[in-house]
Amino acid sequence: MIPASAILSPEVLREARHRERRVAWQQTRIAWLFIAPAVIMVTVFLLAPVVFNVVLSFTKWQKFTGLDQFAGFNNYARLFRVPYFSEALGNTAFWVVGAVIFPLAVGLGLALLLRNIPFQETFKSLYFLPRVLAPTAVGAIWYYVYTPHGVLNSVISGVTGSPFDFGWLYSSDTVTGSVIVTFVWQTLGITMVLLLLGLAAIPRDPIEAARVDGASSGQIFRHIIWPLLLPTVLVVTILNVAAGFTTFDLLWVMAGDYPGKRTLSLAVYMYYESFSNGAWAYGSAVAVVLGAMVITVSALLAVVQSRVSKNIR
Amino acid sequence: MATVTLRDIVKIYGEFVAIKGIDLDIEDGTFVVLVGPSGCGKSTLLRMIAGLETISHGELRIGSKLVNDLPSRERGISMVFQSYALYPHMSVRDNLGFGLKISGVAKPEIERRRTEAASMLGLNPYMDRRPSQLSGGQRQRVAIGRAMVREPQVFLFDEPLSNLDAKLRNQTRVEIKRLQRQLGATVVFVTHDQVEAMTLADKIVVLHDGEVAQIGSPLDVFERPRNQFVAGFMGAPSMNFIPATVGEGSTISAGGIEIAVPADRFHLPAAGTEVTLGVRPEDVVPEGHGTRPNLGADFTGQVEFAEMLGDQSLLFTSLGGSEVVARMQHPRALEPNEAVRFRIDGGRVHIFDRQTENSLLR
Amino acid sequence: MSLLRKIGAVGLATALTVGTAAAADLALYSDKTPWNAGMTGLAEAASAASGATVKLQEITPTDKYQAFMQTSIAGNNVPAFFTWWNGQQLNDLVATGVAADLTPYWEAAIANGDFSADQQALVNVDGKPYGILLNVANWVMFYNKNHFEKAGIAGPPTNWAEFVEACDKLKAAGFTPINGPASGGWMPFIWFSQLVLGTNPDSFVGLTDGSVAYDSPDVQNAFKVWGDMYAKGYFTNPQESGQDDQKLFVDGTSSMFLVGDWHSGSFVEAGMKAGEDFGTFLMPALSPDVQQSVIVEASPIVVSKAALEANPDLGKGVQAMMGVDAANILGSTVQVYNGNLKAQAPNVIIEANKELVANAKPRALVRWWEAVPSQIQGDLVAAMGEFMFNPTPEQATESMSTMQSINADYWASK
Repeated sequence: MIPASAILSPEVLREARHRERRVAWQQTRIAWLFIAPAVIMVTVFLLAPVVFNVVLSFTKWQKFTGLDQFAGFNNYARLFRVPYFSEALGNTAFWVVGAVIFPLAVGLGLALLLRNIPFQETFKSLYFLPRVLAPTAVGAIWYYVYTPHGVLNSVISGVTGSPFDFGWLYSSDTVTGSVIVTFVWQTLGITMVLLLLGLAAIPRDPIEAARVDGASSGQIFRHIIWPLLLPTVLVVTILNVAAGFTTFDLLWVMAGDYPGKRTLSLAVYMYYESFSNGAWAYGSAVAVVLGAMVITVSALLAVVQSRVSKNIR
Repeated sequence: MATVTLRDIVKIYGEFVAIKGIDLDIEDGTFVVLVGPSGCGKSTLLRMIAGLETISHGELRIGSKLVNDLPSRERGISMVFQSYALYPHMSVRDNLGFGLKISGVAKPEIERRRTEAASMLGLNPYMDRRPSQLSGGQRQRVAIGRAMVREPQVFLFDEPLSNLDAKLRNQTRVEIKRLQRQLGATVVFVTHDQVEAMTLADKIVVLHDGEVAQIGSPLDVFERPRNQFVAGFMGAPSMNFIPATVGEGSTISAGGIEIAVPADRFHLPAAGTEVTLGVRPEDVVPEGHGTRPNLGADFTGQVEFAEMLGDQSLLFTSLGGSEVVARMQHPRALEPNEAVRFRIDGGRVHIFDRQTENSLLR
Repeated sequence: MSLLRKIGAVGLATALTVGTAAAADLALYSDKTPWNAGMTGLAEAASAASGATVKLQEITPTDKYQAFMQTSIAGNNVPAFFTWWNGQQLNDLVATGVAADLTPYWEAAIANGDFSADQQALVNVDGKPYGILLNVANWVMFYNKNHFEKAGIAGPPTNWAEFVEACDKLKAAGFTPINGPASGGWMPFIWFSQLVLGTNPDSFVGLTDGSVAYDSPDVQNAFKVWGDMYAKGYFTNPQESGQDDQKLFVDGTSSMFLVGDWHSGSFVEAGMKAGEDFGTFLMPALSPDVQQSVIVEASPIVVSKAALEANPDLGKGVQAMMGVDAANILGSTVQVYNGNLKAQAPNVIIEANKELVANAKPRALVRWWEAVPSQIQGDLVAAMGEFMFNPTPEQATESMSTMQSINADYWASK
């Protein structure tokens, strides 16, 4: 490319640049005006609290005092000294895996089944319904499914013919799994709808071409549908990873009576330490670590997602 | 390669009958074109042969085998789609090899067929690109290559040229015809473009409203259309239709002129019967442009509008209140509403029964 | 709640404490929703006496209330009046220097016979009072009189052997002897502390000041008895109570419920008749050689030092809240007894309990919840709760070792 200065005289170039800049400003100043409130809101209600939280994590604030004392990395060092953090971390990892795999597997199965049937809209709405309920309401409903004399145990008693009163939400073996089932129930709808949208966006022709090319249904899914659906799958995964990392409401409502509830997830641990134990600075350190993990994992997935979607375009 | 036989093929969608009982024999190694306006059922019929639509009624045989209920992959067919339908996430190489790979063909054999198809179609420079990195023509060649490597008994083409620009379309058309001859392939080709149909086909099947309007060679269909629909559909611009009456002694009276027709060309009904006269634009000859037909009749018409096409020009005039399009060879400039003397070639006109619209050709 | 909402909540609480500093009205903060009518009465009495406008502000549940107070005080914006807890919780609060020393008002109240010096001790830190009494409750065993009659039990048990005999009779008559909920995140300490207390009151005190270990012989004994009681089917399943602590008592499933006598009002609300359907007795010690004791729970209202200095008239409000009229308002509206010696007992149960205590002269002790350092309170209760949901000897050993490691850590860091 030949530079503009080699073609135009300095006077013409100066005037041309000036005019382009003025027009650009005239065209965008309204836009700046419109996004200003959003920028201010995000700064005040999102960025400022995040910064404040990071600052808190370096203080000694516990209960009423210590807000003005610098603790260095003591709060972070404590994360690895007490057993709770690693326990909560392990449970959170379990959550993240469960929150990603199960909604995806069940949602994909349902989406593939629903794709070609009549009344699709009705089924979609039905599966989507839990999503519009508040998580606390969902938690309250499922609490009664799992109580010793709840729906689940009644069904088991009915089927086996012998009384069954296991406390699903009170045993360390079953509490996390039980709440994950509820999470899946709640998340299934949105996951399925997103996957249905992804499926609808896959052109029919390559699938038919593969059929003619000799592929069985299974091969079509593996070699054509799955690779083309992968960007959608990754978007759903990013959403569910974030949800899994930060799950709080469901656990707090459903497992509120479980004595070991504190370590059910990092979010619960963070809340417990801050709000129940008054360990504000330490709770903030947990929040910082949790936030860093969510951001890191989501960012990695987002990079993978954009690579994958570029590959199929 | 193989024959394809259709017997009383019917397709229904709920109450709607899309294909109304079609019989068709496609001989080994022939190029058959299904042509018709949109909605005539040509694509549906092709997809039924491909196994992408179920067959509601009738029998479909490929070779001697009844394939009604066989899945696509067991029918020994390949298909080229209008949108090319390449696998967007695979390289050209993998697009070509996919079908063979999942069918368990040995690697060296896949490589042999792929190389053969690639060099035949000139795809070698693009083997590692993905479809999004190819031009429309290149994509089309990949789609054809993908069909070729499977070495099918029958090739199916679903309007494969309609997404290409005019120049590329002509080029690819020739290429397809050349390939078909080279491979000796049985081809079923769907198009709505009658020029494509004429140029490619050994046998044309004109479809109308889910029924066969006519089956025949391109010349047959053009020169001896069985009814007004086929006559109007084949040829561009369309045949002119003018209300007419049968006159005395092998004449037809239309728009106030008497046109002499060859005595042995038609089964003419009694004089005075109302019929429809069909004249192709090239058979309405402006005076001084081309050979003056011997048999026929003259009329003078005002040219309301002339469409200049380069080597020829289309003149829009009228005869007895009916609009008539005439073709002028070696065109000259005309004044607005200039009166021009035309001669209708009586030896090449068509006459249709007014009620049944069937041709009265002998 | 999401991560960012949590972060936002912390920031917001601080922002709020800064933002409300200039408000004209003074607040009386409370987390005790069921007592709202009485609290409003107190606020009105304080307003009338001081000329200031004192308004009730309610925040529930308790953990949110405490979080709000912690952030407010850390942000140096202390509400004029707020309910709090005595014991360690009050010690921690007073250490910040925000609470007003109420010595002159207590001296006046003792002089005119409203309160006694013993009662003042309930809200003392280092010998000085820092709270107005809002509630003074005795911890007693409520029992279903109809169940006792049906089971053929002559009267309330007066020693451990009679108690065990009563439990067996109730069991035989088809009742679950004791309601044992683990509700509200705190109830698991009830039977733990009661059985340590019944084993040795000195050990009970020692647990809360670091001098006795949570796996000492007396604690082991308490867990053994507790486990035996579970094994014999004395307790209801805490899972079935969920968050409704009194459900299995008022519905007739179980016959006894050990809890503070402030709970009697809600039994009445649930349809039981005080004195007719249910009565109370003092829980006996595990053996006759152990001194009879009773747990006393006291809730103070704390006054902001800064607010009192800024507006000396508020002192009249403090006096009004300690007066007999205020006590009678609490009693008549929400059946809460604040210990005022001239006030009427709010109901027959509280009246009867005063008599029980007067006759037996038990050793009065601060509740474990208030006595234990608040930093480790929640962790210890969690370990007790684990035993209630899995009352096996193995779990008892595990709970004791967990509690002792938390306890030892805390005192070692002091």
